[in-house]
Amino acid sequence: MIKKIIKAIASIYLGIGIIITIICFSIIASLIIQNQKPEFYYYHYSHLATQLILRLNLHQFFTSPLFLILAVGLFINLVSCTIIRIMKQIRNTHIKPHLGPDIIHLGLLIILMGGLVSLFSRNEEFQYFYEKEKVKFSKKYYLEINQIEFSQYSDGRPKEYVTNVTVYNIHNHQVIKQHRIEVNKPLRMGNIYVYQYDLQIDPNKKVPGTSTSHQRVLVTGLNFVQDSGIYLLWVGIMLMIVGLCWTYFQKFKEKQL
Amino acid sequence: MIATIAYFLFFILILLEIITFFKKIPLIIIQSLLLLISLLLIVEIINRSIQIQFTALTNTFEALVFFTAFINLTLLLFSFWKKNNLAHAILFIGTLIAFIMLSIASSPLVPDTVKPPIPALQSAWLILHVALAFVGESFFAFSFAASIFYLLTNDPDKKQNADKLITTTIGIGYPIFTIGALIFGAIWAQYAWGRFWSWDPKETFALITWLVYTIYLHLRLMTKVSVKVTVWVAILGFLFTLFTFFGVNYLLPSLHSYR
Repeated sequence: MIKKIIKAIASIYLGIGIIITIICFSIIASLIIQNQKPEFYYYHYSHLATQLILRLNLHQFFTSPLFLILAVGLFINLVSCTIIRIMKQIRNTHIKPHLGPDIIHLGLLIILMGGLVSLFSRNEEFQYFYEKEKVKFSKKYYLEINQIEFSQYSDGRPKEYVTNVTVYNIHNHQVIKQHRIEVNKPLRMGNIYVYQYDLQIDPNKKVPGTSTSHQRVLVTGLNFVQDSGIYLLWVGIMLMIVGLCWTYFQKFKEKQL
Repeated sequence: MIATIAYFLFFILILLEIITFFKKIPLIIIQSLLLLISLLLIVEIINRSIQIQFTALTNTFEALVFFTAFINLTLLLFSFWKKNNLAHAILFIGTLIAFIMLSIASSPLVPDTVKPPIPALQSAWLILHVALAFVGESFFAFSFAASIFYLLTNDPDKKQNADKLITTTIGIGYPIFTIGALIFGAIWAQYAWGRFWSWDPKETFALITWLVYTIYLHLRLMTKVSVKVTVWVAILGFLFTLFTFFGVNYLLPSLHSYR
């Protein structure tokens, strides 16, 4: 009886069924547009449809209980299936083990765990700053905005958003480092990351002592992120890459591809 | 100009492929045209890259040119396969797919102005993400061509060979797409915006595409589900691939939306 239950939980058909359910709900969630106010859905859809959307939290599907249940279901299915696969391969000593898919599955499991940790542990704060402002962003550090740089292409599109900062120790005010925060090049201090998110020209302020209209003051938008889940996510990603390469290298070697 | 020449050569290629259904044409001519078109399109990408001093894979036009080139290269690879009793039909369907991609690139829907990238797109991870995603998808495009052929033919031998091709090409495309579209895309997002995954429509539909191909591989390799069902799954996978690229850009708002 127990064996039947375990077999059912680890069943590939159950896994595929859960994936198909996730696909169907994900399509609906994307098409109705996520994270809008209830008035948006009442305006665009029927009263009944909107009631259903709001009750099932389809408008915030990817953080909803429904999605979490499906993700946990898939997690349990994948863990069971992976354990059974690995045990079968250990027992059958005359057959060459194919661990590639198991490493991929392990990577996926760790990614799912990382996603769950991230959901509950992520802290994010976005703010605009002027030059010379000081920002306390952790128990150990603060930073000073030294210079904000903004350049454009000849057609007016942005070329570079840069915030030059100095990081100080909060207790003794010693310089820890200087960093040029750019888009795609965040500052990392411990487990806090500082991202260049936006940059604007403040229309209400000018550089003191000038009267020319182009001497505007720049305002930088920085996003401070702390997320314990990212370590698991990186490990999961690396395992998936290793697993994929292992699987397909093995298949090429055995000329199955 | 270079892309225009490639587009013109497509007409010749398609005409010759139609003729091969009735009269034998040396395969080397078809292969040469496939290679020539691919090389011209790659030269177009290189030329644009030199102009903007960055790898030119940052807008729809460049992505479609790259995609067309790699679909052709995948077809060229297939044309060397010895069991080529399917060669004409699958080459023809595949060429039509590539031609449609380049036609869309040449249409008013897709601006072809050469522009250097905005700050968010100035990333090596983005280039790897786009390049590998489309290389993977070029194999998916081929599997789509083979799937259509599978459904159209009644010959059991041809069906068997087509099924083998579908499994092989999805088997090759899947890891490349997984690493390129999902993993490198997530890494780029983490560096750019501090979040591996935001569930925006582009990411969600890319994941749906990946899940459909995951279902294909598991059904085909691990279950006794009929081959015909798996062929329809492969077709669905490519339709989602197209929706992820076009549908999201033109129908849904997203961080990824660009014209």
